[in-house]
Amino acid sequence: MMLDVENKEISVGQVKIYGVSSSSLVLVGDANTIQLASSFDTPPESFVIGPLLPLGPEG
Amino acid sequence: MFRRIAKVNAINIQSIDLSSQLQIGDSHQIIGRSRILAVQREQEFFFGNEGSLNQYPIFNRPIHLPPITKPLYEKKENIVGIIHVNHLSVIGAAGSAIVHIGNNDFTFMESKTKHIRQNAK
Repeated sequence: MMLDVENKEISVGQVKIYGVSSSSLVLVGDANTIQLASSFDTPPESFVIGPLLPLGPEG
Repeated sequence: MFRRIAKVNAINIQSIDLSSQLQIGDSHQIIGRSRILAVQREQEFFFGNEGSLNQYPIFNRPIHLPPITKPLYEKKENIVGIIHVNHLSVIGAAGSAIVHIGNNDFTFMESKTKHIRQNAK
């Protein structure tokens, strides 16, 4: 695949961002390779109803 | 290869925490990871010494990314060498997040989150 890029003027007035969280990236500039990945785990059994027990010991 | 210049007149960031970063200037390689164990409890008490990541399989389950199939033939010509942002305002950056003004060659960032909600009977 041949990518022919001609960069002309790019000028942004204002960028307002509320939050940049958990391994995310705000980039003002050029980049060759960006790989962002995330996984999220909230299965039904993570919704616990009952006595509020502490989780396992730290470590 | 001639690289462009990122020009930002004003930055307004209120909070950068939990190993986040404001990078002003070019960088070559960024590798970021964040592991989050989030517990929401109906009643507010905090034991301080609880929770270990290896209890939950998500943290050692690899995330498969699409392979980068090189080569990509690229012809790039920067007629105007400036990327200009007048004003950049960010309220918060947390959890290995990066606000980056400048060029970067390679970035790999991964985040894994385990959410637990505990409701009293």
